[in-house]
Amino acid sequence: MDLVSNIAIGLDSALSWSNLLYAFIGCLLGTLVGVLPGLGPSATVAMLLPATYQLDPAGSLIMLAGIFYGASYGGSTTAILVNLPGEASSVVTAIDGYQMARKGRAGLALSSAACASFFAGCVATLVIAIFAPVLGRMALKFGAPEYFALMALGLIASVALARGSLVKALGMIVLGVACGLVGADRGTSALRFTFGIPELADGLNIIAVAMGMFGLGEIIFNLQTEPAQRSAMKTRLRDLWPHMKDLRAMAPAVARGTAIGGVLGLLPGGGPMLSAFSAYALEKRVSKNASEFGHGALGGVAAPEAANNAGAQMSFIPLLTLGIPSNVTMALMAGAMMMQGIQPGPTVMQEQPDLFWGLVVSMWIGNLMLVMLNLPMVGLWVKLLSIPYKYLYLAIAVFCCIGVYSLNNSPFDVYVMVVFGFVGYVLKKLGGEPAPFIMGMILGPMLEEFLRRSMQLSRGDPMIFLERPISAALLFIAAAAIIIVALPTVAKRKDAVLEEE
Amino acid sequence: MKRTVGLFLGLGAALLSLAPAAQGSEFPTRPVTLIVGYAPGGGTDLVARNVAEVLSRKWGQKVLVENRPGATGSIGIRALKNAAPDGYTLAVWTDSDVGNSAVQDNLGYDLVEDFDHISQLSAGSTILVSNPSVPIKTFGDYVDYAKKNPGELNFAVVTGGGMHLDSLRINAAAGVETAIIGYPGSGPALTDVIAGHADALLLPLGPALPHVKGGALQALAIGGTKRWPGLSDVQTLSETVPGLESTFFHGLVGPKGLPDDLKASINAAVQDALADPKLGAQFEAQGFIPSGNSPEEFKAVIAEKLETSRTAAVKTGLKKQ
Repeated sequence: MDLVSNIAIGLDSALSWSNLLYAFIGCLLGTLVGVLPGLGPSATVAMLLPATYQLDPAGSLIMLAGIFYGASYGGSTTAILVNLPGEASSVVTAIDGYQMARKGRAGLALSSAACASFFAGCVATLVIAIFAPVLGRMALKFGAPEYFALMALGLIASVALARGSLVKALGMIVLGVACGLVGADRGTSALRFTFGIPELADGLNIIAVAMGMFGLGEIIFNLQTEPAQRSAMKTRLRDLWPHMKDLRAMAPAVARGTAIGGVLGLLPGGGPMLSAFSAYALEKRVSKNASEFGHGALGGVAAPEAANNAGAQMSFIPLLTLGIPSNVTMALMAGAMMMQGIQPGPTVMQEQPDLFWGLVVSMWIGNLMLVMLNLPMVGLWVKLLSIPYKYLYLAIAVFCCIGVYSLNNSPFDVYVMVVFGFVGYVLKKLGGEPAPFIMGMILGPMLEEFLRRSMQLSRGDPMIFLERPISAALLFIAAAAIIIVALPTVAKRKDAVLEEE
Repeated sequence: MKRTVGLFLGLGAALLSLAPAAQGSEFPTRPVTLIVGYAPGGGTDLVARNVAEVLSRKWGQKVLVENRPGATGSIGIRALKNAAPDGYTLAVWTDSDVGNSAVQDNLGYDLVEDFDHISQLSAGSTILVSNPSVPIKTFGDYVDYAKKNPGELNFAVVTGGGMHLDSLRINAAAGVETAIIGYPGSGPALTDVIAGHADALLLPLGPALPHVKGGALQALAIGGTKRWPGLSDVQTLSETVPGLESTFFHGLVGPKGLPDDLKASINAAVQDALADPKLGAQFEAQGFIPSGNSPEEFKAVIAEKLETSRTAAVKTGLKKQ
């Protein structure tokens, strides 16, 4: 069978002691750097790229894959432990993961995240090995109108991220969209809301804003509450690992998350970013214990983590089969390949099968290494929480500044984080939640970009959205979602009116 | 926490120790920073990383690439302007930096007067490509097709990028009109042309090569004055419209006030690095040739490019008067 012989080629090139060691070092470095708040996969890969130059092509790609997985997981670790999403996609993990940590279940949240990621990684690797070329071509079916419809659906679904009132969630989304509009207009390069500050020309840095609103906002909020209330942070060391019943409870969530991440991760235009949060929105709708979401639901951590990792892995497909990097991290991977004399694209698979299959196998090895490395480290991470908060918060604040600075080597991003830390605190006091805000900020500008491009392509005819089947279907689902969300509210209001009479 | 930090520092030290030992030359005695005004993974970043790698070996000191992306490279240029002229902070520039200066006012710097230019690093050609489903094979076909069907072709451009101005300039020189579809980066633009959502794109040769060879893109014309060795059957722009060309460069620049002997010594090291066969192969794979010159020559190149771009920006209407 083809697949078996191909995997054998891959195992042959990836499974040497030295390559296993590179995979291990990569995962370790990736985790250690990625666990610093704000240092997501792209920053970590950029930073550690030079460390791989000296290796042979297979070794360097394996080490980079390890760094990439390690950094992704490191970002989730801080999201769970201290409410600091290291990248846009772990914003969702922070919602329930941090609540779990507050209830003394940080260990369980971390180990579940690792298990969910591992499962999703295995499935995604298998899918890449079997279907990569077909899927690569399918991703190209998505043009501007389809992306517009997808973003519209995403924006509507972000209401589901809210714990409390619908009106407040909508308000936060709109506020987020407004903040997302800051910067040069992508169509004409005209500057909007930049007040003559050159650093604002590319808009507010989404990670700096997220870290401010989640991380710093949380710190200010915590410092204000009484120490007694914070004792919930004290963690019981037992319950680090998921029990059988936890595994059974999270299995469907992981499966659904993997499926969503697998589909959305394929799309080069922002798909991987959407996958974690779509998985969360779906889980909240279909889960049996939907009421727990937002208060530390296991499914609320497992599903987005699975989706995140599946999506990240699937984003290798456009790179490997078409030579199209779908995000900064993939562009760096492509750069690393070029430094090794490999031109990523359709020819790699035919001309250098040992390299292609070696990379596929090394993805799996990277995932395995990550679980082996991180499950024992869960205890160590959780112990961090037992540091008295008066020391811990200082360390967090310092690491936040370092992390945010290193995103673009820009002190301005640090100011943005600080300002949004206070904004986050005030909004929290008023009952506004950061997650819908961040989604609005991510999706708003993309919605605008794809709308404008669709209209340019159709010469101003809005029917383009309905003439194309994929975009029509997505918009139909979006319309249905609005009705579903609106109905219970309408019903409740009716009840209220009736009660008053 | 302490244990983790210790471990991290230890590994960092281990990595640094991989660097070759210092060879005792006068400059540099500590790591040198190369500012790149664009995100990691792009063409300019790759050039900087290639050059940094060779210079690190030659100097026996780490040469670090520092990405300062934002506002079409102008954040990085401003950072360079404010750096001390001691040779330890340098920057790699490209065409977009010139194009941006030609279009934007009030950037707060003058590319010619406010800097000390060290040497050009590369000379590259652009390539005009189309989706294979469009019934055109050459730049001549493109001109005919666009004249017969004015405004029908969708020409993808990266808004405000280095190729934006060149795309408009080519259309103007050929006397044709197409729809201009804006993209935030070359990745999405390339994807859409391969997928057939847009029809034509002008981009640096390197990233287009594998797609042209694989048949995903039709090569219409090479932007340089000479045909590219690997694609010898593809005509140049000037074979259809005499005098029309579209090229780009990368170059090494320092803050104003570099001492002359230091500038000469860095220039010498760069010429040496550009002769490195491995670097040559890396450059060629990305579609450009190593191409050094003297500080004076490089300064003249920048001044000339800026003047041409300014004229073109006004002529094509990209810069509103």
